[in-house]
Amino acid sequence: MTGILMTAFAALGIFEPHTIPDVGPEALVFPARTRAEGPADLFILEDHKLRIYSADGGPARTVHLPQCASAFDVGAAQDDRDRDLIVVHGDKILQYSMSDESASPVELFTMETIFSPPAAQPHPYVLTTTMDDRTLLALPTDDALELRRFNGELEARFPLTNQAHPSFGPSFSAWPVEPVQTAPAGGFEMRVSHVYEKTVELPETMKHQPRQERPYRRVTPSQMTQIADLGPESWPWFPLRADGDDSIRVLYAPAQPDLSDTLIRLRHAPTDEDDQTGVTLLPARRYPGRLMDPSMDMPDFNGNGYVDLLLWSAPKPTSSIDSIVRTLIGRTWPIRITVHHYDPIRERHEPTPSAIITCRLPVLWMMIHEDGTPLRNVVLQDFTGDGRTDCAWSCDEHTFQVWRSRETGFSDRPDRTYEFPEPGMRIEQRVDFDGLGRTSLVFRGETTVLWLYAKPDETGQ
Amino acid sequence: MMALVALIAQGAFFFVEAEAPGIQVSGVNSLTGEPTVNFRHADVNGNGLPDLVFGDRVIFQTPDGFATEPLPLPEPRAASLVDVWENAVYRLFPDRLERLEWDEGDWNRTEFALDTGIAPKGGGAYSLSDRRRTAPPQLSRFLHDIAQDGIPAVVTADEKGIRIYALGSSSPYADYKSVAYHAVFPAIRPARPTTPNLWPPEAREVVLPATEMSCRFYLDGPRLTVIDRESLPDQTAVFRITRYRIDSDNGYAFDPEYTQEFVTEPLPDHLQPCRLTDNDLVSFAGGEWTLSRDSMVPSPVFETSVTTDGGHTIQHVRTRSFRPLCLFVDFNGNGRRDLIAETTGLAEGGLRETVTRFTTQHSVRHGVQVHLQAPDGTFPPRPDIQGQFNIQIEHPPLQSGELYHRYQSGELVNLSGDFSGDGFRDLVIQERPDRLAIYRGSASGFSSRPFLTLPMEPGWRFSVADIDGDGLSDIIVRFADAEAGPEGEGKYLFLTRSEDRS
Repeated sequence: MTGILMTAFAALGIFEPHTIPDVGPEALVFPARTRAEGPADLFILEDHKLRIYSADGGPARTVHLPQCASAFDVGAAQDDRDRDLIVVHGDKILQYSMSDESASPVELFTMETIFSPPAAQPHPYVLTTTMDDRTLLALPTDDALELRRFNGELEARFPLTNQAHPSFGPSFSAWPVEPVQTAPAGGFEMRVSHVYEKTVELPETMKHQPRQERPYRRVTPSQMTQIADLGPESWPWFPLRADGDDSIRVLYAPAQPDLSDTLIRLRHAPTDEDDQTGVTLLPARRYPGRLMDPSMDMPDFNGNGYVDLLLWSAPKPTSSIDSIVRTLIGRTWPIRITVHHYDPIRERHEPTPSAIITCRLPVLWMMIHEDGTPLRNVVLQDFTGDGRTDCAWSCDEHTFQVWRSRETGFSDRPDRTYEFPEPGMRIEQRVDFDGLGRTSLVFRGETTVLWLYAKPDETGQ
Repeated sequence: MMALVALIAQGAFFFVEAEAPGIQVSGVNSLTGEPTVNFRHADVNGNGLPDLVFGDRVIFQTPDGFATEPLPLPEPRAASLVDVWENAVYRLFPDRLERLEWDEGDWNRTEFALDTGIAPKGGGAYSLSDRRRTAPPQLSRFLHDIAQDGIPAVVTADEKGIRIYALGSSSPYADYKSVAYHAVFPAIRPARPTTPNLWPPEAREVVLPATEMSCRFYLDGPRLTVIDRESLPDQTAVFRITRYRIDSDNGYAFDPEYTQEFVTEPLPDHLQPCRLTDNDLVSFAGGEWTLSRDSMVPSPVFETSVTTDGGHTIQHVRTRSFRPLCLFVDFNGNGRRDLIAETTGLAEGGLRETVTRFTTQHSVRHGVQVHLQAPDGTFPPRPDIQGQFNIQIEHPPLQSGELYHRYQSGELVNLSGDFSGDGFRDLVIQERPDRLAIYRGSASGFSSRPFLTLPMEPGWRFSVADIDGDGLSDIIVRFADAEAGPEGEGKYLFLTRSEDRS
């Protein structure tokens, strides 16, 4: 098996761990599917070398893209066969077979595109699309998006419009550098910037349906400390319903005096945003601990369709010098994590936690929070596809612990602990590789990728 | 303005308080040690003292300080950019150039049609045509003496290059004609791509990548230098430096024998081009925080990196836990910028000592080190000049007081000014909540006692810049003042005077 070390106890776990060595920090890691059916594969692009790993642990395939290639896609020539790699190399449009590594690329045709200038490293773009059930190459030029057959024949041409800055501000700007930074004293120095993005109007049948993002209002950790002094209209919120329906919002804020507890208020609102007459704000309830920001994952641990609360708390060190020194030398500090389910009958999150998880964290993590919590690599997702949110995080630099949510709740010890092949790995991607509602995870270290693939259970689900 | 602060006179130098209407010093360029101000100097009224030219007004300087009432520039009829040249104010409009000269109590206005030849594209003349008519006039740069004949050309930039307008004849009433257009900017290229969207199938959308071009250019007499930066995937960047010589005797075309191109080695992403040496080479420098894992508790280390030879050799200076306001200043006035490192005593010693300092100490031992640049562009690994100073921060660091925060962000120590005019930079330190002290810099180091001091009050912040243009740095003190207009900030200006001038 090339490059993948399968861990022996993988069959017993929630994830199949795949350790992929020799991955530099500049490598691009992303999912794409090389087969017509089945789970996506994991691609690693480093310089011009593309490595492809399949979820079943089969041997890695390697494709060497040509120097100066600028864009590529994993797209099919025909829908009923495995995907081929489409590569833009200067004006050449190349096709690489994914089923035969040794096969030479086929030059489909040549044309000038916006990807024609040489690039330091190629990048994946969507270069194939479907129109009237046919797979076509989608190649942007300076003034149009052209859809071409694989023999180069032009099928459709859509003019590009609306030249504008992709975010805000003028497309072109020039401003003086005062005082000069590179010019001699008294010289004349300017900086210029020209940034624009073109858009294309596609037929309705080809328009992409953007995924509906779940609404929420989030604040930064530093803003969170100020929220405590403001009214509920300024509080951050997330929808109570796990499906994103925000007719009932969960407003939250840290509670005075020391911001170590959380206030929760439910806000019922009519569907019509303009009709504020029916807005009801329920009284605040106080929960011990600080809320882990739920806006990213919106956990529903018992699968009842409502977002639950996950809070953390930690004892405070006394302020004596000896106590602080002992804490620093001890290197770890206890933390307590509690789960409060939402009860739709009582219309509140339960005051008594349904689960309590304790662990010890490095002291440095208690001082430097990421995303508002001292834990690292926090993931609240469904890893098993049973509709209940599981939770996982790192309590140290060397491991990743997973708690599986069951009908009976969480156990007080992690269901699985995965060892990192190198310390300090960080989550880079959360991906449903097979589209069945199971979230897999991809971690990056300085030289290694750890792919925790959420494997199907015994029934194949 | 609030109550006058007592003048401080010690030795040959002293401060006098002056009005500071609308003056802003908005920071120091950490790679050059030069402050950014919102005005330009020009002796508009010809009294021998530099006046302050803003986008919409002029403040005259008198021997006693600055006039309390600014003199407005004539109301412009369209959006304009403002520049100064030899004591006259110039305004650039989309179709003309205007020169304003103050003549016996009135503005003398001269207009030059701007014969654009081929009209600039939408963003030409710094997006002047896009600016709203009501947009306030903006201080900028567009005048440069390319021909070295004392007559400024107008230089504007658009998406592809620069356009040069030159005066048609020596007659003051002649028009400025478009004499050259040089498409010297790098080609536009796809911007750094975003996250790939090849999976899941419903996320696959044809996305047209944004395209971008950014660069900097400078003119030094007839020489034009364009600096293009290209990011590489491995957190590095290469710079392509192209030099041209504009031949004003040949229709402002490029001298083909002069054009040179130089590409640097891949440089760390945080390095920026800057001018550090006294030769014609562009240097690259920058600083970043790293985490030292040498001790039981990892501590932050600040690392300054610099190359003066295009990346062939990169020098690094690491100091424990302090980022200086200025990474480089020309400390000894020899035309070469020197590397500044600063250290904080808070992180010295073992764990217990550090904790004790953070919990109990009301002052910080602060170190300033100068690595003088050698003629070959290198910096010695050990500093040539060192100084140690005590800074009182009112409360122990653990209590997170305002002064400690200002200390941490580098606001209490400033080595950008020369208050004595001897060419050596002097060190300004807010060493007590109520006192600003200025230590004189020299070839042997810093004076043991301050040669100038200034009383401060809680909440005051200071900046250093040569406001009156006499070659001696001055101090601007800012403080919150709800009654001070939309800025909500009051200011005191303290002009440095020597006994010679007084």
